[in-house]
Amino acid sequence: MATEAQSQEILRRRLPNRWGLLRAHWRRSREQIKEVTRHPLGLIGTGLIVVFALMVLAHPVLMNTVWDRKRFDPIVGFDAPLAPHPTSPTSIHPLGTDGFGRDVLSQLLAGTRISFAVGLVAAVVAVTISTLMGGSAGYFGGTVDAILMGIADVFVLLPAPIVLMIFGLLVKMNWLTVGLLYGVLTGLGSQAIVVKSHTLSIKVKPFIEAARVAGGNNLHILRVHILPGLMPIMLVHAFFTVVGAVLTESLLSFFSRTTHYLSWGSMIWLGQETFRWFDLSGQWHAIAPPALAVMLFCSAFYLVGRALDDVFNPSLKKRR
Amino acid sequence: MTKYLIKRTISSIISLFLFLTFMFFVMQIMIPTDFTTQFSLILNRQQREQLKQELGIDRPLWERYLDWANRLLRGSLGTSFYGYPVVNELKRLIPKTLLIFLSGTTASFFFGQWLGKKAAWKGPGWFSNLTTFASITLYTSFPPLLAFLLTYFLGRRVNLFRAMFRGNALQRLDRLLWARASLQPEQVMTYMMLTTATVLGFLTLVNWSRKRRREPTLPLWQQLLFFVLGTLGIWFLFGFGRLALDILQLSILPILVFTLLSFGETMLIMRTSMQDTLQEYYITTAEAKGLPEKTIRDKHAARNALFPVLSRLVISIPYLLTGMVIVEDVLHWPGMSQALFESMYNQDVPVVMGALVIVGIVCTVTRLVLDILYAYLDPRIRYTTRSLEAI
Repeated sequence: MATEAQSQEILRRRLPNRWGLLRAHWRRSREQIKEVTRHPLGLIGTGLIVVFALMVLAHPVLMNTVWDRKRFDPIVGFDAPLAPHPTSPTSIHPLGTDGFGRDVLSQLLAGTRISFAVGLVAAVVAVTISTLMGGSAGYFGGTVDAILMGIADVFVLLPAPIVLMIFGLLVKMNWLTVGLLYGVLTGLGSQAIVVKSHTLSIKVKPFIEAARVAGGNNLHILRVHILPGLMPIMLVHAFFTVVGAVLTESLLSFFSRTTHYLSWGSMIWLGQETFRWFDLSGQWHAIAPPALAVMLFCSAFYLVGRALDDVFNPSLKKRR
Repeated sequence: MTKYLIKRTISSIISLFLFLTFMFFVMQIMIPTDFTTQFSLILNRQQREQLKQELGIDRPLWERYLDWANRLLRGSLGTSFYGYPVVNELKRLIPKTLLIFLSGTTASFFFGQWLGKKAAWKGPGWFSNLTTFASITLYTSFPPLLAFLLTYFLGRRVNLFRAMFRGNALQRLDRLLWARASLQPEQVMTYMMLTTATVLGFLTLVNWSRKRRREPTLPLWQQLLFFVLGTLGIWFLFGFGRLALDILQLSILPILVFTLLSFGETMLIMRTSMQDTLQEYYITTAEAKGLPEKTIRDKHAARNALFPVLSRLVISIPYLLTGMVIVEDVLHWPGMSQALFESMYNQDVPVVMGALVIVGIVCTVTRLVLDILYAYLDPRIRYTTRSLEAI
């Protein structure tokens, strides 16, 4: 007869290592992620994201090698020899200069950095919060579910962009605050509810019961069996959160509610203000690049999100 | 069903109250100084203390909260720091916002789901590609820029609509006409919405009764004709037809912008969900039975495909309201959000809270209606609590 400790030891050895399990999940999702790049929409989206990433890298390189700091700085640069500003595109300034004599291309590249940062912060925060909340609400049920979903119900009522606009009137916000607050507001709201429903669908599967019979405690089951199952939906929502966060950040900058002096939103504001100053003749070369950038950036993340959704939920695959 | 209804109503009222509480404390904590030190610099210390006492901002936070909650539960929104009752101010603003919001949301919902249905039914091809491309472009385009471009091209270059770049959009109403009229613009807007809703309700009733008698419903063009003639007829019959047309001319651009901003998402979701539904076996069965194509598309596929669109709409109501903020700001439409931000600048907390109460009520009621509709259409929902969980 084996003692208690020995039987525990045997059980532990026969159960697969949980990190091994996670790795196996990751390997499977890596296959699926590869599938995304074969998806036509996903391919376009991934290509665009790579282009934007290159734009982020290009700015410091160009600033340190080709561009003169005084003339090409995105915020305080001024091209004195080229007065009066704004000027149309030339070989020195491929996208022209704006009303303050700043290079539009330099601003565009610098703005990419902020969009990426805001999107990343918001996505990470939203995914973390929604997984913690939705996962535990779905798994534990009962009182925990009632309390957490009550909170989620309140936050669904809060339109994140409007709340951030109100906050922006009262406090100074930089890109980090915008990202964090957007992540918190969306993560506590609709995303938590969606994650909860997915947790419920995983919770009723037989392997969870098997894990419980084998002696796994709640933390173990949540970490090893439920979290990997939630990874696909989390990834999809992370991409959609980036779209929302970048649009919101641009909106806040457009309405001058942020304190970082440069963003695509503020560039668009300046561009469209020129149409109001000079009736009917504005600077298309200053307003079109940031506008297109916002649109392409958001559609890139949206397309990749949709492609991921198609790969992870293969209900669309032809049955006949 | 009744039990579900009661449960859902009570829980949404509670969450609405929690939302307002949260916003109250955020307002009170985040506003840097109090109203008197900011805006009445002429007063001496004694007068300032007196003013503080009159406005009730010298009391501790929890006391102010209890007072506010007490008044709210009795249905009073209090008086503004500038002396007028908040309700009067809101009465002037709500019709202006609702006119754009309701007509835009309805238009975008019907147009979006119709386009999505068509795109999925036709299958892969140029129509599907074109509509998907257009919807993704509209969904991800920067809202203020879209509004600006439409104003610039349609309002200024082509002069199709009366559009404003500065000031207040309602200043461009026909002065002579309104000088002779005894009605205010917001009253006319309220009447317009009420009559339109009446005509729509009448149409639904006619369709329903025809369906009960197993007669075919009226063709779409007849319904549209009836709708347009009926609404215009009522407007002119009650004697505010010219005023209403004047307002309609002015508000068509904001409605167009709002519709374009919000329809992309509906269309995309409808297309995906319709594609999903078309794979089901019951569609094959319906085809095998030899049913006409239109019946399969509209009755078998589209009705079931509508569920995800409805549940998505619940999530996007706040975002629709954001669209409203943008439309009001860029097109200078003097509605709720303009007033909300203006009173934020003026630190007029009662007005801000009043506006937020309205926002919260709109969100809650729309969600409640959608949830109930969803539970009515899909009986499985009645056993859980939220339509959002069914995505």
